[in-house]
Amino acid sequence: MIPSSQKNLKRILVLGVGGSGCSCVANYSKFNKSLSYMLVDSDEASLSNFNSENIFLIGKKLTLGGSTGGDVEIGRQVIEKDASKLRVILEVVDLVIIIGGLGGGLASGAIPVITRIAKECLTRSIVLSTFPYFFEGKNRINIAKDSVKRIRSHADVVIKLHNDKLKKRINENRYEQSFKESHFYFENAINSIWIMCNKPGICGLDYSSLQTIIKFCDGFCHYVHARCVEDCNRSKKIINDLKNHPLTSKGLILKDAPGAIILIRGDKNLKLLEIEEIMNFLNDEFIDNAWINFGIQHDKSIDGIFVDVYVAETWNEPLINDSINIFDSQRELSLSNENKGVFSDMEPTVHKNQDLDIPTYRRKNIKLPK
Amino acid sequence: MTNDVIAALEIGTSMIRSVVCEIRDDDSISVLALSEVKSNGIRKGEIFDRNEVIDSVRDALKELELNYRKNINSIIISLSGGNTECYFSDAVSRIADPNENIPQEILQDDIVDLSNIAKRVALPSSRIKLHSFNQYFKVDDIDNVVNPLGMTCESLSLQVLTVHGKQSIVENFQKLVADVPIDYIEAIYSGLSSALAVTTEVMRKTGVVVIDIGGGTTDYCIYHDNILKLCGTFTVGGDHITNDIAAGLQIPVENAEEVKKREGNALLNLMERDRNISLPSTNNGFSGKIIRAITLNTIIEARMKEIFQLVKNEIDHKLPNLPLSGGILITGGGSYLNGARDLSQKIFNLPSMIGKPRDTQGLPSVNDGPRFSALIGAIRYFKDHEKKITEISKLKKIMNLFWGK
Repeated sequence: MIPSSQKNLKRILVLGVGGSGCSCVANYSKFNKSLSYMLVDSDEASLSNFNSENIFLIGKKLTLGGSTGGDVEIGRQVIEKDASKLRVILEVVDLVIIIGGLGGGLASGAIPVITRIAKECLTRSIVLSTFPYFFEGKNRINIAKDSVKRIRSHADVVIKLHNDKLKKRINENRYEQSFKESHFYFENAINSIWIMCNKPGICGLDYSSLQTIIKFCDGFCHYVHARCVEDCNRSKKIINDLKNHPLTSKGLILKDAPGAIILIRGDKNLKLLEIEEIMNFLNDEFIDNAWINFGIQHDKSIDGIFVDVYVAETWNEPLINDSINIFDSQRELSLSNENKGVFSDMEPTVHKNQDLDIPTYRRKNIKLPK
Repeated sequence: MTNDVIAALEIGTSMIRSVVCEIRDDDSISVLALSEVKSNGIRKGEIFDRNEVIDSVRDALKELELNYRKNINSIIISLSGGNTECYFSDAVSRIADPNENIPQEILQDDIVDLSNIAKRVALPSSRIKLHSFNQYFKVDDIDNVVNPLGMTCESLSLQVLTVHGKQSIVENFQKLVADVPIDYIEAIYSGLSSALAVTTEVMRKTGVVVIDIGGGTTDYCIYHDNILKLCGTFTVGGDHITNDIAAGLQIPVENAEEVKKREGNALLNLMERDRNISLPSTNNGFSGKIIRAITLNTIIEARMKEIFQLVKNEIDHKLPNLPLSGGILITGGGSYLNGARDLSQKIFNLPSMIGKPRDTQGLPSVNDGPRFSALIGAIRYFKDHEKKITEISKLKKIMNLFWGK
């Protein structure tokens, strides 16, 4: 499954799920041969279009090679039937990037299961999911919303892409192109993740920095891509592009973000001044104590400047791992009693070095949903 | 013929409850009167304002007398008081003739003597003995003998479980009741009494855990082979859940208590992610708030899980591999929390039920059972161990008439 040339690199698997996911991955795999791909679908006819080696036909007994027909429950069942095969694949991978268009049957039903299996295999998972257009109906949007909730409980990062947000940008385009636009975003996202993990840059951005955002990002992440292929005023054009980007809600998402990864790629003409201008703009946009990690890559294959920004929507507080505490038997009780409420002026109830009067969720570092 | 009439009082952290009961010929208990008043001056099972407690107890007894329409002069108290623990001690007695070394038969006197020796336990000066219970006898090499009467042996040994509590707490409660003033006949550990009320003999034989979750304390008792194997108290209870909610949601304690009772659930339900609960403003200065059900239940689940885990750890540590096919019985005010039973089933992996007093008539409804289980059990314990009629002496009756009481 994994090419031998990638042995020392991080093993990344790109998984296209359902019709939309498969066509996106199949398209991208033509340009980048150094990643592992897999197309997961229950529809034999649609899979045969892709002419790819790594095809994983699921649920042959259940759907008899047909599609799920928009039934989320069947989408869930087909992947559960082939869960053991998938587990074997995911066990040997470091990071799995799952791509699918939510709202239909297979992707909405199967991606939550795939992310759960990935979590059980200790594989990091990033889910890139498109949301249906509003005109596709409330039912499909509700299916997508419901599915994203289930995905969120297992996946490390979920990147949502609302097709409607892209609509304004491509108003005049033909419908085929508008679907391609969302695929284009995902292809860029996969590309930047792959470059980040497996190509050394000038300023440090690597798999570990991706890990950091995965660890702290509480669920959703936004991905913004801007590029400029012209010769003059490149940085200003990129700043303008980022400012008015439909996926940043006109820069609002950047303003609230607690953390971000910024990857700037450029050809040999990339100047320090340009980087400075872009970074100054982004630093002004973010809040003061935002966690920002940025890297610069010199990429021979591109012309101009490409900027990829991953913005975390909410941020986890760093979790304190109790199991690491080697002084368990000698732990001291804190002297302050601010957390104890009505029990603050009483003799503490101490049981096995723990003051039981302090709320349990505080002692055990259980994060309360806000 | 007249039946025995006994009154019992429980001074709890959140409520003071009392009952007057009659024991029928068929061993069932009939509740003649009951009272329930809010408790003041007690936190975590300990007195912090004596005058307030005395006032509350007087209120409770006044209400009880009103309901019973007779005077009550003597009472059994059921107390928890926190820090109740148990201690195992052994005693050996040589039954065989000392000169000829021939095995001899065990007589009733031998057993009584032996258990008296075993019950003499040296406790630290801060502890007071509440109860002691015989465990298994050992007849020479035969272990786990329940009744050795009539067997022949050279030596007989016995293990005794002593339940002991904090002296200051127990004595203060006794003094308080005396100052109310009322005669108290006996003080019974509430964990034990609730266990007696809600379990049947079959349950106690097969192995059962009774968890009494009160306002300030949680008592637990484990029975197997009809023998009390372990009991104890943790100073954690429903008030801690309320306090956690108040701290976590940043609302006043009174509103936290109300929302706990109304909407709280010990099991986290992920389907409730989007459910919001609105707390209306109240006249204590609270201006209202909308909270998420999932936040509330996360707080409650964390605390309830911890309470059950504390009990489970004690059982795993002190009685490993004990068959407990009778399951878990949850009783006390904490058992009214939604999902508490399901959570205990999840944590102990044993069938769990809400413990309601058995063979009892006269409570307002079946659902009121768990709250009164400690009192019903105290009466059952008293009946089993004393077999005395609690009629006040004739002299006292005359004196009472004389004083116009």
